[in-house]
Amino acid sequence: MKNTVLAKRYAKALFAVGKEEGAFEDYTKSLNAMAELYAGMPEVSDALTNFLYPVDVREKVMDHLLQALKVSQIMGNFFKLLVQKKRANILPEIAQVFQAMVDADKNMCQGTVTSAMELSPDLSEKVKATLEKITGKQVVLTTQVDPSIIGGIVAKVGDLVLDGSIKSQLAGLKESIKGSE
Amino acid sequence: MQIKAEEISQIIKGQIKDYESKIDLSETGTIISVGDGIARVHGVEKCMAMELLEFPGGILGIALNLEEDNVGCAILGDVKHIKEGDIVKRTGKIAEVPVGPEMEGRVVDGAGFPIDGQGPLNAKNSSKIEVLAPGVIARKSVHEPCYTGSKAVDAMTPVGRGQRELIIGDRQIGKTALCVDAIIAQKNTDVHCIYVAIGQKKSTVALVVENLRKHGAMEYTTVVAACASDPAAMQYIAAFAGCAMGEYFRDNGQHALIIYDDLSKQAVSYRELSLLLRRPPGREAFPGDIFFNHSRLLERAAKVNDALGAGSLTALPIIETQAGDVSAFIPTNVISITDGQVYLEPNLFFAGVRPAINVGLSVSRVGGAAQVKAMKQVAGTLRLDLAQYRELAAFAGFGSDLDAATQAQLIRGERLVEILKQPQYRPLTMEKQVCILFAGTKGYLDKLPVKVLAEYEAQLYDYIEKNQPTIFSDLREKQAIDSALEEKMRSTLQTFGDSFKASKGLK
Repeated sequence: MKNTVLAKRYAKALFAVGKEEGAFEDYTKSLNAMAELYAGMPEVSDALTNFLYPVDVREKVMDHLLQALKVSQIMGNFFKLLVQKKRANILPEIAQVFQAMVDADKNMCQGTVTSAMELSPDLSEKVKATLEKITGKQVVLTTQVDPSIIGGIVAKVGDLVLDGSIKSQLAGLKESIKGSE
Repeated sequence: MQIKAEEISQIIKGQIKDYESKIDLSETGTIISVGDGIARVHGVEKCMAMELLEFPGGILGIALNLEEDNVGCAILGDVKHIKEGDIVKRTGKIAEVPVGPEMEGRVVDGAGFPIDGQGPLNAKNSSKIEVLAPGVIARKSVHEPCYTGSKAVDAMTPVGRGQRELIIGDRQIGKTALCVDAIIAQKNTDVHCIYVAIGQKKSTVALVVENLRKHGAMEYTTVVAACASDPAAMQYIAAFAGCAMGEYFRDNGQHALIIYDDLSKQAVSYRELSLLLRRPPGREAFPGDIFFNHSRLLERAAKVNDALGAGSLTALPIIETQAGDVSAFIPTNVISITDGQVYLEPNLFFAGVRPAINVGLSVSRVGGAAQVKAMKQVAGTLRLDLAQYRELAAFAGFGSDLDAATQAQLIRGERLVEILKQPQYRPLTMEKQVCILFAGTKGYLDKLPVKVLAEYEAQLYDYIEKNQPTIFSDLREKQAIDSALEEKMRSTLQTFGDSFKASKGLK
């Protein structure tokens, strides 16, 4: 999040290309795959971003990666450019910003629902419908399970948080008892 | 007192029963960085300027910088538990403080929370700390006096209701004392007082509160204290918070007096905030809008017109100078904003002239409009007499052969300087001030040695109260000295002077 300004610039350029080609889906997929790789395997991001390795070595690493991932030509060029410009470190931010741009273009947004137990499909459908009503946008929902919230659900869409968990209600109760002392 | 466990669990049971569980809908952001009382927050997209944000643990912050991808925010509290990645919630409220008559007699911090241990405030109203000052049409010219109880100020640099009069001087020469006296002088009047302590020691504030309480002035006074150990943001907003409390009275057709003690410290804390928020520094490293900071604050002191209730907010800002340097950045700024200044001088202070007001450098731009006729009648020549005295006194030091006229002027001047001295915590009402100044300017003191004048003054008030109480009541009612009253005052002063001289064994 520290380099959002930079990330925005790269994402904007990629977005413009994507608009011409009409291949957002593919770009998002490759970007997210790469970002996941960064998060999942720190060695990869190290190999691509560590300034101790010469640029040509890092470029070679990227070449191999791209061959393995089988990304489209334009995305391949984009990734190579990032390595060349020594900006491979902001790739996760670019993926995030790009996702947000694509979502805004399609009038969609990403949401997460956290619950203590696995949600049944029709319940999560209901949550999705409610979130769509609140935001006025199509919501792509991902679900998470976190037993520490005890019960209820926490829904998150962008900056908006709907907190109906037992955990936060208990915290509120604690505050109200403390506050009235 | 015995507390039963039974009762406590009963109370808690009630609280749990009444606790409404509602789903918390909030807009949030995450902290990117935090340090030095400043946090940068990502998210909170619809955040407004000066909006309160809630940090973990219920600590509040104010959004000061709204940037493209983050919000710069000053934290009003302990930053120890706040860390990177924490969730910040929007409250949707622009910074506000409780206002109203319930605030009187209380000591609150810069954000309006009580710190005097007297329970909750129960204020019914609250008001935004940053509001626009009344416009041109909403105002009226200052026309009624707001007595400070100090002879030198009320006679020569009168303060009117709705005026802004700067108190300026070095450290430790009685700036706060003058203002505390002004608060005490509002006893038995319809003026509500607010004392804003910015960046002072907690012990000093405690002392002021104690003295106000001792003199019965706490009943109509609110103390807003943002002490030296409070965050810079708190010290910065304390002045605006106090102003909002004063405005409540102004806008309800009442009168209020607010003292900012002091604005130089407020400027310093604003500088700290601005530098930490990376706003570009200007002269003396103050930010570019430091002038606007003070001008928009002091503009809110005003006299509003009759249609709006004719209320007023009088401001006495204090500025501390360094070694008498009034041409530093902040003093010149505030001098140009205010309607005059009372300049206190160390030389006078240490020569025993207290309050140490330099009559030559002190002015009030509202002037005579803020004085009743009686005061104008006695104080009209006072300034001139004192100015001439100072000029002559400088020359008189060189030789002893002086003509009678010069000598008379020196004698008069010496006595006038003496009667303008006043002990702390003893503000005087207008009628008393008029009487002693009348005696001084009309020459009733010329025959008395300077040493006994303090005693003369004290006895004079007692004498008039006992023997000629109509003088005080006439002055209060007519607010002018007509020929009959003048005759009465002259004869009273004559007889009192004679008996005083006799009692002291003077000829």
